[in-house]
Amino acid sequence: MGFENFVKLMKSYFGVEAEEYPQNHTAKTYLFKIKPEYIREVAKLLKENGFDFFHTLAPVDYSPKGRGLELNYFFENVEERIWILIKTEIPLDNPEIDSLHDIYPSLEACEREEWEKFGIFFKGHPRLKPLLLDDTLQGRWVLRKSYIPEPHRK
Amino acid sequence: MYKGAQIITEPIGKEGDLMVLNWGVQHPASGPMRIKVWLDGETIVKVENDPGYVTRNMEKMLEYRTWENAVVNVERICFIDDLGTILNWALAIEKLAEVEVPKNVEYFRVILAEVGRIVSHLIGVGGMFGALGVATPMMWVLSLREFYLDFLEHYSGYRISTAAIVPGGVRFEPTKEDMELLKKAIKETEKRWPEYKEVFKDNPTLVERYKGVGIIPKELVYKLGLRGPVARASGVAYDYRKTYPYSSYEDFNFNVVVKEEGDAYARFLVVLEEIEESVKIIKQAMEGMPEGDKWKVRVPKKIKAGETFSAVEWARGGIEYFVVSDGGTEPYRVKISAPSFMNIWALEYIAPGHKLADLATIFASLYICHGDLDR
Amino acid sequence: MDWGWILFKTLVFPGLTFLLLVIFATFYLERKLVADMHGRTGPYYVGPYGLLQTVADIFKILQKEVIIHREADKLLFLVVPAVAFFMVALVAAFIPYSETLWIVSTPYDLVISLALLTSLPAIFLFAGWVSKSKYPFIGGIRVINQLISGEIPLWLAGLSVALWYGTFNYVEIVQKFDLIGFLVNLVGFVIFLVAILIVADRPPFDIPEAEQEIVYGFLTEYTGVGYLLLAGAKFLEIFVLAAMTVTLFLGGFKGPFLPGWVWFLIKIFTVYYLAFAIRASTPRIRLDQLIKFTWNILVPLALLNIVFILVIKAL
Repeated sequence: MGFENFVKLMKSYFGVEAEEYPQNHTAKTYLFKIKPEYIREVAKLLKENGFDFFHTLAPVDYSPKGRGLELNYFFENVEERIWILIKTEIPLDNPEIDSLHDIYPSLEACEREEWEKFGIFFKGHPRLKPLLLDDTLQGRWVLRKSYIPEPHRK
Repeated sequence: MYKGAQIITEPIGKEGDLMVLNWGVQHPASGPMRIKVWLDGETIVKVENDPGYVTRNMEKMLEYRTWENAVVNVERICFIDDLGTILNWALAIEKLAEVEVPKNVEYFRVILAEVGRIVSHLIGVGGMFGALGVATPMMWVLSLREFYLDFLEHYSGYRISTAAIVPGGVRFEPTKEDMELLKKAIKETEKRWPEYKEVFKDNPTLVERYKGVGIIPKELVYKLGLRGPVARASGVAYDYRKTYPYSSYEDFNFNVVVKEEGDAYARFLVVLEEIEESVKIIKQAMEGMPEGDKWKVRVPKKIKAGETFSAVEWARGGIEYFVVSDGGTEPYRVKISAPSFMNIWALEYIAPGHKLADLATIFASLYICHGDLDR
Repeated sequence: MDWGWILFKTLVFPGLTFLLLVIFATFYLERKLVADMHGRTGPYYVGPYGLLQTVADIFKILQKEVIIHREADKLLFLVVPAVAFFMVALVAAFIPYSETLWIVSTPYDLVISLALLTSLPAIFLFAGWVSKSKYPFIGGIRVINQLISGEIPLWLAGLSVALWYGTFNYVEIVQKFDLIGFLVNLVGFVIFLVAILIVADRPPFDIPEAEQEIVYGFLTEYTGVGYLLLAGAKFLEIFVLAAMTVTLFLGGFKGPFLPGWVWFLIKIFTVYYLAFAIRASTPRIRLDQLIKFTWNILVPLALLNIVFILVIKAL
């Protein structure tokens, strides 16, 4: 089965165990915490093991808590109905991570959005250009905790 | 310049032999969004989406709202079906605060969510006809939608943006008159539906224009993470209500409408037939409504630290929130993953090769709401 | 020759003033009838039965600033709407409202009207061209598509009537009209009806003005007086084509009891109602579907119709 195979491979390749993630309201989810440099290899493994539906990419800025940017990737194996959450953390002063747009094309737009709002530079992304935000907000990384909207209010 | 930025130097007007058309922002059928179309005569060569004209930066805004006040923001993700988005918010908060709501609240929430879906789908059906330049179906469905809005108005005080669902329950106890109004709406729907269906479904010109246009193969659904009616029209039976039931949806007997063709007509049919299923669910929920006089459970002002992922089947597809709390009175971070934001990218894959006239029909059949596309 | 009478006919009835009234009436009727099919009320508050709503709208349009694209040819941009309007108004001069009530009557009425109508698309193409803007340009090109698909059935169906009655003169055609003529020309009538919808860009063939695709076609860049003249030309075109249908196929001003021009207007109203009902119920078709439809079905049918009429006449 895709999921068991994936857990085995993750253990042998990267030495990470699957953790239960009960916080997902909807479905059975397993959590893997990995180092950011492995993200491409993990994504390839996921794709090979039937986790072909990408749901969402949710970065969280933990800088006030003394941590960096946490990236949450949600993947689903539609046939087995198992979700996998990949958590990885990158430093805020050098937010770089490999782009997964060629493995999961649905991530292209999500990465573009998060680049625009968090300033995470996705290496190898073909079109990191403004998507949603106004020109005046470009480069301000509006979703980081360091951005306070009050002074910018008209 | 900041890292990764590109200066846009593409010529606007023409490119070689191709004409570059800005289909939007001010265009009758585009909504507040620009679609750059490279045209060879009347044939589309390439399409590029440029959304972002109604961005409110909802995710940042929510970090400055209390847990309950955020309902008012969340429902404005897309006002056409506001109830689904609030339902998801309420579910996420209840999960975070570890609050259980009574069964009667869950049933009434199902009713509200399905009313929201019907209201949205009715406009969707009218809009798909509107893309062909005929306004009559739109007027008809709007007059039918009015009955549901009467119910919402009587219940919550507002026709749209009702804020009817709150974390921990529903805002008011539903009265007898509310239920009478809903019954009237259902009765009116069932009375008019055979005629509507006959006129809408078998309309020869509509079939001519929609059939075989904008085919989304099944692989593309997985490739692009498409959701909702768009995915179901391509043979992917993915519906949160059935796949991962929430709010007592497992109690109800309904079908997930799935079509195999994947063309614009299949998407039209999915939206049309889902209205019938929603009517079925509402009728079952009204009959089987459990006894109970508790309509709201207390949710603490401060919610303990933690994170949660929550998803519901909203009118336009699965809407997903990732909510992080740090123990304060307001969310630490909310990620809204909206279906329209995923679905719109299918346009870049399927539009090339069609005629310019088909762009309007494909765009309408993707069932985009600009509110949740930009957030 | 009574010059006063001619002047009255040219300027008042059935001339210029009447044509302006026709624009108002077409606008109002279209709104009211389509609203009825939508389940709405339509214009209601301004004037009795909302009759003055159109007047208010037209004055609103007249107040608007005339904006000209900086790359557009200013002179042509301003002249084209006037030319279009007067060309359609010229066709209206041939319409007989009763046996004596017409402005011009020649032995070649039908041919002249058809020729004038056929040269209109060129004017509309020009309107799109001189706007120097993308949507009007596409709209202008689509008008040519409309021309190659619509005008040929229109000519063929129109000329089949002339073949049957043996004359091009409208008044004579109406005078020779009888039940047999109506029945023989029934196929031609249907073809002509479809063709006038195509030529006048009425839904479901409103491809050059397809709002959801190319905004407003060649009318997009026009504002104020220019827009009014072009839109007026479109409304007049519908009226003229409906009048031609009535004259050729429905016996024009012929009818018992009432005066001729009343009968004429009643018949025109019927054609209008048909056109508006089709508008309210039929989605727009695509441009390649239109060409396929006209060249695979309409044109062969029109040719067969001519053969049929020749055979009947020879019998």
